Formats: sequence, C-alpha cells, structure tokens
Amino acid sequence: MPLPPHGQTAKEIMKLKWDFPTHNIYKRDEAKGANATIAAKIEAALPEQEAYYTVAGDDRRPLLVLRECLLCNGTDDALLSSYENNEAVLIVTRWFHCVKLPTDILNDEHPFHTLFEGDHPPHLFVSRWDGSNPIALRGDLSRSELLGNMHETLKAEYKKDAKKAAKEITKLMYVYDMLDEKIQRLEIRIDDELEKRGPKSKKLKKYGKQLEAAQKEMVAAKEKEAVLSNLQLRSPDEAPNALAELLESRKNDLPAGQ
Amino acid sequence: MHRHSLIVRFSLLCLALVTCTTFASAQKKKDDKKEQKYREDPYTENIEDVWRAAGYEAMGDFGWADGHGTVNIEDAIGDEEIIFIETKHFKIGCCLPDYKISREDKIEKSKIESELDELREFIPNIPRRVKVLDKWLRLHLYAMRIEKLYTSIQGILKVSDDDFPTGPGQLKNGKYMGEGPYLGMKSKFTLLLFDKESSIGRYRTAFMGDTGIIPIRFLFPGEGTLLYACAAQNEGLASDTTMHCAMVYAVTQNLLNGYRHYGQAMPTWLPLGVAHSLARDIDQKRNYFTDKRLYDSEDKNIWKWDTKTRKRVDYDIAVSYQEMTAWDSPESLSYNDHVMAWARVDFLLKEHKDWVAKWLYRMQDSYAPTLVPSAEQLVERDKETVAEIFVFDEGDFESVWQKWVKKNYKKK
Repeated sequence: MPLPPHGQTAKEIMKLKWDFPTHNIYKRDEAKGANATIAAKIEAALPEQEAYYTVAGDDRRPLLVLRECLLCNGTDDALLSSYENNEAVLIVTRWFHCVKLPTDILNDEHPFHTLFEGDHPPHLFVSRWDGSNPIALRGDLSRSELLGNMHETLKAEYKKDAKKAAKEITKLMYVYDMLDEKIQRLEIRIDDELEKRGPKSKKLKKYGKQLEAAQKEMVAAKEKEAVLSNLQLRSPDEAPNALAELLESRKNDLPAGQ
Repeated sequence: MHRHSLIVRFSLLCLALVTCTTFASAQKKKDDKKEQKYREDPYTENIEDVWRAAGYEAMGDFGWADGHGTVNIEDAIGDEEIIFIETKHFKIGCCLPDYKISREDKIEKSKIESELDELREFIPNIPRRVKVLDKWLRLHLYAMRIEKLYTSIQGILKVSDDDFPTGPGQLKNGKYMGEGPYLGMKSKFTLLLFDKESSIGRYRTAFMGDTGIIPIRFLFPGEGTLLYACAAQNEGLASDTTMHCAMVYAVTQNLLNGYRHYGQAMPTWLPLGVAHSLARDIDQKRNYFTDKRLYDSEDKNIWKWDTKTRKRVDYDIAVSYQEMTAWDSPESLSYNDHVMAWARVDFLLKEHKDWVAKWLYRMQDSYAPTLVPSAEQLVERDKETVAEIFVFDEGDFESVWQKWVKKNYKKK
C-alpha cells in the first residue's frame, strides 16, 4: 500500500514542501505600470556553480532536486512509489531543501539547465547545497536503496542521526492520527450537543474537558517532533555570501571595459 | 464531499522514470508547430471578429500586472500550455486539463449543459453535444462565469460601469468612486487557472515574491489589480463545480475589496457572507473554503447551513454581530463562523439589499490620504455604519435577524 490513510496533522506534516526557483529574470521592480515594457527574458543558462548557489539561496540544507516531466505532470510521482509505503521518504524530505524545476529545464537556455545537463539526465538527485557530492536517484531504485542514498547525504550533512529521528517521528504520526480523530470527533460532538440540547447540556462540560486534554496532548506531540527534527546541520553558516562573492570574482576577471 | 489525497498522487514509479528519460530528449526537440497548436481556439478560430463578438477584448499576448506580461508568465511556469483572453473586466489565463462531463453526476451535467447553451449565444461554433470540456472550452466557460459574477456584484453594489472614473484623480458625479473604471480599480481584475500546483508555486516565486502552492488572492499595487490563482491539482479543485464555487467565493472578495479602490481591508464578515451566498447559489454542497471540517467530516448535513443557523438561534448560541466585527481573515475562522457570516448576509440580501450596498460604499470611504486605519478604527466604522444604516422599526439588528431566522429557516 502506498500510504495508510493519515489524519489532517500527519498529512500536513508529510506534505512535500517544494521551492520553485525561477531565477531573477523578471525585472518586476523596474515596472512602472500598465503600459510598462514587459520584462525581458534572459535566454542563457547560468554557469553551474552560479545555478547551484542561486537555487540554494540562504538554505544550507542538502538539496533534493526534481525535474518535472510530461508524464509526472507536476506531481511528486518521480519520488514516490505507487505500490510501496512512501511514509519514510516523506518524513526524511524535511531535512532536504526540496527544489522542483519545470520540464523546460532540459532546454539549453533555461537558467538552471546546468543542473540537468547531458543526454540522460537523472529525474532527481540529492547533493550538498553547493551541488557537490551529488547522488542521482534513479527510477529503478527500490525504496530501501532510495532511502539509503538519502540517508547517506543526511549522515554527511547533519550532526544527529536522521534514521533514529525518522523512526521516532514515524511513531508520532500515529499519535497525531489518534489525536486528530479524537479532537475532530469531540468538536463535532460539542457542536451537535449545543445544537441539540443547548448550552445547558450536562455532557458539554465532559466533552470540553476531553477536548482540552486532547489538544494539550497534540501540543506536546508537536513539541516532541520539533526536538526530533532538529538534527543540527554540520555547517549551517558555510559561505553565507557565496553567490555575491562568485559574481564579484567573475566581474574582477573580466577584461577592462566590460 | 471531495476527498483528495494531499500528499501522494499515485504512479508507476519505474515505468514513469524509464519513460521519462526517453521523453527528455523528445521534450528537448519539441516541434514548433505542435508547440503553437494549443494556442488555436477551435471555437472562435482566433478570428478577431468572432472573439470580439463573444465579448473579448484581447486574445493571446498582453500585459498582466506590475511589469510582467503573459509571455513572462509562460516563461516562469515552464511548459504548461497556458492560453490567455481579456474580457471587459478581467484578464484570464488558463491551462486547465480536459474535463470529462460525468454522466453519473446529473446535477453537474445539467449545470454545464445549460451553461454551454448560454455560451453558444456568444460562440455559436460550440458543438451541440459536448462530452469533454477541453482547455479552450473551459476558458470560455470561466470567462462567461466570471463576467456574470461581475454583473451580480454590480447588482449588489447598485452600480454600473458608468459610475466609475476612467482614471485616477477624478470624481464621478461629485463623489470619489476610486481610481479607475473597474469598480474603482485602475486595471482589470485577473484570474489564473492552472493545472499544476507547481505552476502556482512558480508564479508566486517569480512575481509575488513569496512561496506556496495553495490558491491565493493577491493585490498588485502598482498596476492596481487584484488576482485570484488556483490549480486543478489543489485539494478539491479537480471537480469543475467545486472550482467554480471556489472562484466565485474568492473573486467576490476581490471585487468587493476593490470597490472604490483598494485602500484598506474591509471588516471580514459582510464580504465573506456575500461570497458564500453567491458560491452557494452555484452549488450548496460544493461551496468550497479551506476548513478541514468541510472535507473530513462524515456529517452528511454539513451543507445545511440554514438548519444549523436555526438551531443556534433557538439556543441563543449564534455568534453575535458585535463579535463578528472583530473577526480576522476568513482563513482564521471556524466552520461555524463561516455559517454565521453567510446567515447574516442571507438575511440582508433577501430583505434589505440596498443596505448591503450602502454598507459597502461607506466602508470603502477613504481615511485621510496617508492614514492606514487600525483594526480598531475599522471596527468602529463598521459599528457606526451598522447603527446608521441597519435601522429597524421592530428592534435591533440582532433581534430582527433572529426573528427572521426563526421564520424562514427550518428546524430540520
């Protein structure tokens, strides 16, 4: 089975949080109004290092980069399996800076084309924030091989053990499910009771107390998850001005007059 | 209710990935002819006289908002084949997927068929029998739907196009009515209907300076236009009817906030109630808003808002008008709050429609030119306006509304 039917909280937590870098080719700040010239497109791919620095921005988590294709149509299918449990994969994605790029990334002039160069570029890969130590995640990998590759990157980038944390977070998902179900059931029950017997109903106090307790448990579970999630990057402050310095050095390399 | 898996869209991983490598080179060498094919409208055949007769003012390529145009949107979202038209009051971009009209869903089938009949009056080339709504047909339908919504809002506001200035700095009949011809906004309202969630993400990153893939309403201040963008992949929006309701719900709030030019946010309750009222006119069971209870509940009666309101009034537990004035954004409200906002406005629209127009006019009065009002000032003006306009012989707003609910809403 691909995924057990999780409740609202677990589903929200496991939702992949993608970044969609578009590169600063649209000069919106220069626009003056309705009749302003439409911003021009820069029709050239960025050099590889600049592309990685731009995609990474200030985020020093390792990258998980996916390119869309016509078959996937913008979904996360390339990463997720239709016949195996994806939960473990979804849980570890939180420690990656997940980046999704459009199908036209394969065009030579796309700003981030250098991330997927070659005749048979992978569909997705993980790497350090600057593109070093890349591992292509091929389509024929089993779940355990895919996860193994992801954990290899995480082990190199974080101080704490991601496998251990992921295991504990997986357990929490079921706590969330139980609490979601309980909270929702009580909220509806309180609503129904109010509308059926009015605010003087004796059951309301009992339900109210149960709801409060469940909500407290939910807060505690989320605090626990936040602690588990904090694996601590080994180099969170690495090269904070990487892109600016790269551009500056390139400018200095230019012959006079350019 | 529509239930979507939020996280996973199932696929055949291995097959997909192997095939993707082959597709990679195919995509790279995309045939120019094929690339342009999607821009050809089979219904107007892109003939200017025909699309102008259908009420469109532009087709294809034009400026959009704050320095970006349709071409830039195409570049930003990648290979999604997006098409654009401009109606009298809106600019619309669409790359919605084909939509098969379900024979089982008789309510939706009948709704769409009747809309297509209406559309044929403007675009006669639409075949008599339509089984699948293609992208162009969906765009034409949404253009018609959104213009109808505009007309409804003009009816609620008791205004016509002639009541607004052609540009900034003009009074109309001695009154300030905004900065431009579109209910007071300088530019046409904008609507983006994507297929992929990632296209919303890319649009937001490129042009709005933020991130996220959920449907969004947004003001581009330079151009003076209010946008609503959503995607068929957004939760619940695979259904055309739900997307229609969601569009009505969101664009209603944009139109009301843009009335006499967007200067400050309005108190939430009344525009929210109008939005629900118009969305429920489309389909009460598919009125969409982001509240988990709408989707997760087993409660089959969750759409019966009149009965719910009646029970709350009977037990005197309906949220009071005083409390409603201090509400934050609609997203922060509970399911019950949404119901209560609708119930107040349902009463006002049915019994005192002209008061709604007066309230909206008054709430959009400018504060001093440079002053951005505080939340307290907005609440204060709301209360003053209600006290001044909502005057009943038989009691106050609260008690008259409660009596009306008891008379008009059934207990079961």
